[in-house]
Amino acid sequence: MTFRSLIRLAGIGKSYGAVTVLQPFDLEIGDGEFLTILGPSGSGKTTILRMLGGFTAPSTGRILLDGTDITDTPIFRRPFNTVFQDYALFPHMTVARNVGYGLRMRRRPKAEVDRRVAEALAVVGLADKAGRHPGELSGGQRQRVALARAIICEPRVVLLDEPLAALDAGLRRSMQEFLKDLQRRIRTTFVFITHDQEEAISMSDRIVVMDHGRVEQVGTPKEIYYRPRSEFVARFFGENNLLPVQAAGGSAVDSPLGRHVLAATGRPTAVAIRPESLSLRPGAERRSATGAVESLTFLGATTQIVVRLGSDQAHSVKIRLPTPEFDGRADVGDPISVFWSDADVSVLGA
Amino acid sequence: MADALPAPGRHDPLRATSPAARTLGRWLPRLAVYGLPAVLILAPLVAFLTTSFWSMADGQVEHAFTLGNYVAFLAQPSYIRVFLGTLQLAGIVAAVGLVFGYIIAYLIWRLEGRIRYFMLLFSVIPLAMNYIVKIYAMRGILGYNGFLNWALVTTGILDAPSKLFLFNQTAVMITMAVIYLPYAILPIFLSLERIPPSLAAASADLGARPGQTFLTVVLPLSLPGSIVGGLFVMVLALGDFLTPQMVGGNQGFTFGRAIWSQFGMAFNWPFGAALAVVLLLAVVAIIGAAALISRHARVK
Amino acid sequence: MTAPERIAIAALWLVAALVFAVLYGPALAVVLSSFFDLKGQSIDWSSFSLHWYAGLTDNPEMLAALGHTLLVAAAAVLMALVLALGLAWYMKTGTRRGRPFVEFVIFLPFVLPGIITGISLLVAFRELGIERSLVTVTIGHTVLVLAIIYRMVTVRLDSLEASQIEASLDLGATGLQTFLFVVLPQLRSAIVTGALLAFTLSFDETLVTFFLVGGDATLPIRLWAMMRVGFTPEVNALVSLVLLATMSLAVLGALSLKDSMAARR
Repeated sequence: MTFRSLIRLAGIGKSYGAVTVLQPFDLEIGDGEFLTILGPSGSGKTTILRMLGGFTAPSTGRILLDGTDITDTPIFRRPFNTVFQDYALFPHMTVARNVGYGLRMRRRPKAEVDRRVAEALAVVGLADKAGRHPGELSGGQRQRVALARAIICEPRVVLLDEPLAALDAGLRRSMQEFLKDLQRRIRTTFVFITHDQEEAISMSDRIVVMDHGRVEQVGTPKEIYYRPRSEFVARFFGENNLLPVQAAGGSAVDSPLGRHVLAATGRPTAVAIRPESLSLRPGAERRSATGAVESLTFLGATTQIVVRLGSDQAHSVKIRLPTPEFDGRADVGDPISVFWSDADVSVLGA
Repeated sequence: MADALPAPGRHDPLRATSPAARTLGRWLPRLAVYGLPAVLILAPLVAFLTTSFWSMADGQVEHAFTLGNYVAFLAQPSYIRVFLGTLQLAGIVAAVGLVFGYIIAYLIWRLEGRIRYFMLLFSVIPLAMNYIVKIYAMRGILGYNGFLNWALVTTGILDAPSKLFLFNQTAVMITMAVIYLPYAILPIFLSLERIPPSLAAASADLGARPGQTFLTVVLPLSLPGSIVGGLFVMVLALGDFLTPQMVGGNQGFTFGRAIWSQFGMAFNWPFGAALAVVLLLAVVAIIGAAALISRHARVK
Repeated sequence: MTAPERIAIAALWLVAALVFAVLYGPALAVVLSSFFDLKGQSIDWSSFSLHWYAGLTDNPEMLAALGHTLLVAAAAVLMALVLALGLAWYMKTGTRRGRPFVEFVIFLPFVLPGIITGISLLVAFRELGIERSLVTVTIGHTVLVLAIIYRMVTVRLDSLEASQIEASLDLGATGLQTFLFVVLPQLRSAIVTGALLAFTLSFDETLVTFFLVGGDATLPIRLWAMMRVGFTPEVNALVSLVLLATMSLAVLGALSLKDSMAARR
């Protein structure tokens, strides 16, 4: 899928008086992509969504849609629709009238509204609930009504504010698949907010990782996972090995994993490598190090080995292998060799 | 994928609101919202306060600042006596309302289900009765040939009808008590309602007899709210100038009547305004006391 | 319940019954005299008649006063509704810093004695050169009942999630459309209850009206004037009818209040 920029956030930031909740940043959102903004609470992700929707005005920066500055455009004129965290369904209207609301505001003829409402309800699988009131529906059903209401107006972007937060685990998973599938079908840009990293990794085309009002990294799930650029991102997803670095002259640094040459100037703070990227098998173009086994943990499909590296045994790394591959090769205390590929090492802070 | 749906007749759906429109849209409602209450309520109050500092000369109001009205009030013992007497009268009315209102509210509070709601309604309906007619009816009841005398003579409490029930302070007090008592019932009921039911249950569980539970749990917790209800009645009684006029006669002269006459026969508006300011200060003090009591109760 | 407790409660109920008798006494006296002849302390039960009710049509000033009262009440409630809705909506849509102050001012006429509010408005009208009339009375009543309606509307509005308003805007409705289609329908019960209570209050309002009334009297004013000379008997008939009407309004108001509290799930 080629990337065509739809929305550009240029220098967007937000402060309340002396408190900065969002540091100025730039971001391009692509047409038709599933973009997730991920971060713990207080990271500023909701603020970005609210600024896109027009509910909050940015303190600095502009928002451009296809080149047009829409920063001062009021909420009801922006071609975006939001799925709210509490669904925000109108309790005094039936499901059908809720879903058709946006079209009625645009003064579409009744016949068209009825037809499109029926279509939208069919898409989310609630065709038989058209005459009910929101109070009569379950949480999951209300969520789907909110979704139908948001997509029926064919917005340029659908904004989703932690829509799955109130659902139980099983429902959550099926909704995740549903949303992903829906997005592909209607080919609309989705901007999705969550604090759940598994959700983000499994659903997104790209992820924006946020922490304390700062954009830490933007990239595809694989990039974020295997190529973290900061310690926060490295630690945020799953397990990671972080090892210290020392300056080695020029633009190179040394770590227990060898010497790394940096492309640009930065301030490297650590290196990271995923447990599954470390192996006990030698191979061409692989670096190696020796150490001693500190612990072995059987985790079912995988086995975790903690190895103390280096002559001074100062650093340990976690290795994750499929259990059959390990198969009792070593015991605690045994010397062991660890292999990895330099491409799997990320220098953080650079 | 569709562009933003073009609404008929609307050009450029994305247009931002102009800075001028935005400023107007911000300030116009702000002006209305803050301006209307100010004009309708605050301004007249200010005018009223200002008038108390003016004076009357030859049937015309002199717009010159003077403290003369207040001096006149403070210097004349008769006015001060009436003021204090009216405070006392209103206090008695409030006390009567508090006691009997508490009894009724307590009994209703003990009820459950639909009868409770019905009794509440029943106790509040007397308020729907026209105020003037209530006074008129009381005048009839309290009179020499009225119902009260008839009842007292028939039951033997009195040998002969008495003239002491009408056209004096007692008459004013009785009539006001009858008129304003229902106002106290609801606040007292609400203060009883606020008591968590588990407290009474805990008290009984710990061995307290019903009377003890009432004295040690229910009464103390409902008292602040009830007193506030009583003070509410007091404020109402203080400001009533019609009841004293109809049933007070010559001996039932209250502060409210004094104020009213300045706007009537005596025609000294500035002086009347000054007296009303004195009344206002008393009312503010009472309301302040009520607020303090309820805040103190809430802290507990 | 223990025996002493039973006795105590019974005694209290006796007292309460006496109090209720006293509270309802005046109303009873008036209603009875509209049907029977009352002479001091005795009721002539044989004299049942409806002719005082019929005689109502012969008292044009009183009927006119009744009409004025209804007009003023309707106008005041309407104006107070518009004002209260506007104020409450403004306060809801955004963090308004002056909100406690505005609410304090709105509640002043309701909390202060009528004599103060009456004098204030009287002086203000005088200074502005506005003659006293039904218009001034209406303004006075509006200011009085504004607090009630505002309170009912605000309480209901506060329980409305802000996200519904945002959702409506997000779907393309302007602020006005949002108010009309999303907010107002959900305020219906609060508006009805508030309007009923306000109407009842305005109908019986006497103290403030006294200061603001001009040539056209409202019913309480007219009754006051008649009271000085003594009521003609058809007054009892009219008052009985008014009592029935106000009682019905009060019951309606109470019922709708109960409904609106139950409807809030």
